[in-house]
Amino acid sequence: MVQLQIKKENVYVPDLAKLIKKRKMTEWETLFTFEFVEGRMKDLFTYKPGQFVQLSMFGIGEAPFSISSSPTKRGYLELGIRKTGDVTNKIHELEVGDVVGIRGPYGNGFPTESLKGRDILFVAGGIGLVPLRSLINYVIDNRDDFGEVTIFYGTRSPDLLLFKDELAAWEALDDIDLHVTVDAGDDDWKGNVGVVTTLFKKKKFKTENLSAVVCGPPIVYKFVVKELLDIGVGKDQILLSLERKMKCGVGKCAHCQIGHKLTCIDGPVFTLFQVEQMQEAI
Amino acid sequence: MSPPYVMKRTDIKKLVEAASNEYDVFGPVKKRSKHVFGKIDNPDNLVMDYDSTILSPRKYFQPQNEVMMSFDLEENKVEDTLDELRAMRPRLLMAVHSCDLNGILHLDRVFGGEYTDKYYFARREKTTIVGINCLDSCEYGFCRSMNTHHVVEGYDLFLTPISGDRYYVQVGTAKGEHLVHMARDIFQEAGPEDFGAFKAALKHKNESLPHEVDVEGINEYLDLSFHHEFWDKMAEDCVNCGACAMVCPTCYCYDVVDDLDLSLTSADRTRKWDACLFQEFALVAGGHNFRESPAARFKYRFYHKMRGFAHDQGILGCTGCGRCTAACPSDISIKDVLKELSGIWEVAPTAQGGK
Ligand SMILES: Cc1cc2nc3c(=O)[nH]c(=O)nc-3n(C[C@H](O)[C@H](O)[C@H](O)COP(=O)(O)OP(=O)(O)OC[C@H]3O[C@@H](n4cnc5c(N)ncnc54)[C@H](O)[C@@H]3O)c2cc1C
Ligand code: SF4
Ligand code: SF4
Ligand code: FES
Repeated sequence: MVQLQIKKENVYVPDLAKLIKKRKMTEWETLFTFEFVEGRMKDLFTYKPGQFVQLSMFGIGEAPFSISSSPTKRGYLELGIRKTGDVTNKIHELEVGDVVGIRGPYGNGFPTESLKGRDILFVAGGIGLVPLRSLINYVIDNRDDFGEVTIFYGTRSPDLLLFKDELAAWEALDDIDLHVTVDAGDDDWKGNVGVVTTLFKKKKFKTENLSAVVCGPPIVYKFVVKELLDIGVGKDQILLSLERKMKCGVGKCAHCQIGHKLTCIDGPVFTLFQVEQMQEAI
Repeated sequence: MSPPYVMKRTDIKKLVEAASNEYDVFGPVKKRSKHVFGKIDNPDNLVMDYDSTILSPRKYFQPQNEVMMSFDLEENKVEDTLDELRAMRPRLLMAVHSCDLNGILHLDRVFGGEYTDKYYFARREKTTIVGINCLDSCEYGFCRSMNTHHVVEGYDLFLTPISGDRYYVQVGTAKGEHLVHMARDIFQEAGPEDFGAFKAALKHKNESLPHEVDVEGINEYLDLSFHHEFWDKMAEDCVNCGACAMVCPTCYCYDVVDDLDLSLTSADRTRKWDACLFQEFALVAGGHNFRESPAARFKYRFYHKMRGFAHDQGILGCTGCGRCTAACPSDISIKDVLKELSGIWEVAPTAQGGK
């Protein structure tokens, strides 16, 4: 896909975007849909699954968020945001019609071209589903380009499951194999119980043509990677989307440096092979 | 290359006076027992012959605090400060040592590239730099080890002290030539004898600057030593004050904060110097800290300079200016760190034992 970068005079100045929809997903996470105020931005702003934007709450600050919508859906951006600090709390107070600043897209994104023709296993822990959802929907919208698709998704409890409607929709597709689990169920929960790695017992994979795409909190990587290596997925076919503190998003502030790489420019998506070359990465 | 000139050292005052009509002039001035880069309102205060300065000239290109933009919260308007910056009065920066000229070239690489930092380059373009050759070593520096005692670019004029109390003046850019023309009568075109005097000065420099630290292989040694106990030992005394990063000409990391004004109708977005030594540097929301221990942060500073920077930019991210050593309250010397690190790998394994 061709990357149309917006040539701007000053990379740090955000474009204005309006909140057009707000959908509460859990007590902590809400899905926000934004539309650029300037009409031409709808065509200029193109992105890849796995890229992120810097969102400005004017007067509070700026923070990076993965784009959760798929580029196959044009004209708007969806961000799934967890309430956790100054900027994110303020975002949750936004009302439809309010204006924020957005700049980007930044980061390398998932290698959609080289994933073509491959079987894909998505493994998401908690909020890790937010960035993966962009690629999942991209794959669904270009279904013929990809092989078998499996999704493993785990959260701590049923009330923390994100995108419940969409999970149901994915479940209904016969060319997507979705497995959801929770660390601890409640009275109504009929599904799997156990951490996300327990899902590996549910399915036998042929790994010659398998790529795995993983996103979750730091703890998830260690355990999921071990499972993936155990079933024989190649280190260059395990893709991890990493999180680091970010200020600039464009390789200047050095906050996101891991080993000799910058998460905002070289990442946030790295292969396990790369990650092993980078000190303190996972 | 433009033809070089010679000038009398005492004529520097005349140059500064002439330049003051067009530029704000900055350069080394005395501050208590040390020197700092400061504004030169009186040419008598300019010190051309100084050991080092507390802060590097980085502050003129990346100020400690810099307002990037303002927000009008009622109108949802973003006011960029770039135009203001581009309208600022040109500046003349005097007597910048070779190591610091190289430091500025480092910053050019960081702030340039695909996502060019326009604030940095607005300041850079507004500044004319007069460099000066150090013919003798300074107290803490080790420029020769880092190969920063030479410069081929980064200056507009470059002065080398030569015999007869004169400077040999090399012109690096049209901006430099412009400066010459502001006080044309103090400059004479250099002749063959002046070139001889210049060569003699370089010879003196070559004999006098020590080669103290061997950084060959440092990239590889860093990779090999990541889990070595050496770092814990080295970091024991570091109090994570960040002074080393503040004084460094090639440390550039910054934090960004929004400040609401009292009426809550407008806000400024400001970036401020930060340091990877600080505890919150890699701390993310939710409480996870990617470099929790002080030793991890101490180690990281060296990895970023000598490994990460080398990877990104193809050169080591240290100019050997020695300021971090001069500033450290715990007397940690970067030369010692580098020497001991190389020592781990360059001493025969039997003699060294350990990992
Ligand atoms: C590439 C990337 C993608 C992300 N995608 C999402 C997402 O889709 N949904 C979501 O809810 N969160 C996401 N995050 C995390 C999100 O950026 C942080 O939760 C957010 O920065 C917290 O800001 P705050 O002001 O509310 O918290 P505070 O603790 O008040 O943080 C202050 C500032 O520190 C920085 N900071 C703190 N934590 C982080 C962090 N984890 N990552 C980067 N910068 C941080 C930010 O500049 C932030 O404004 C992502 C982070 C990265 C790096
Ligand atoms: S690390 Fe120390 S010696 Fe090297 S450039 Fe920075 S302050 Fe100077
Ligand atoms: S100046 Fe010295 S004590 Fe302070 S952070 Fe740097 S190395 Fe540590
Ligand atoms: S976020 Fe600033 S360098 Fe990556």
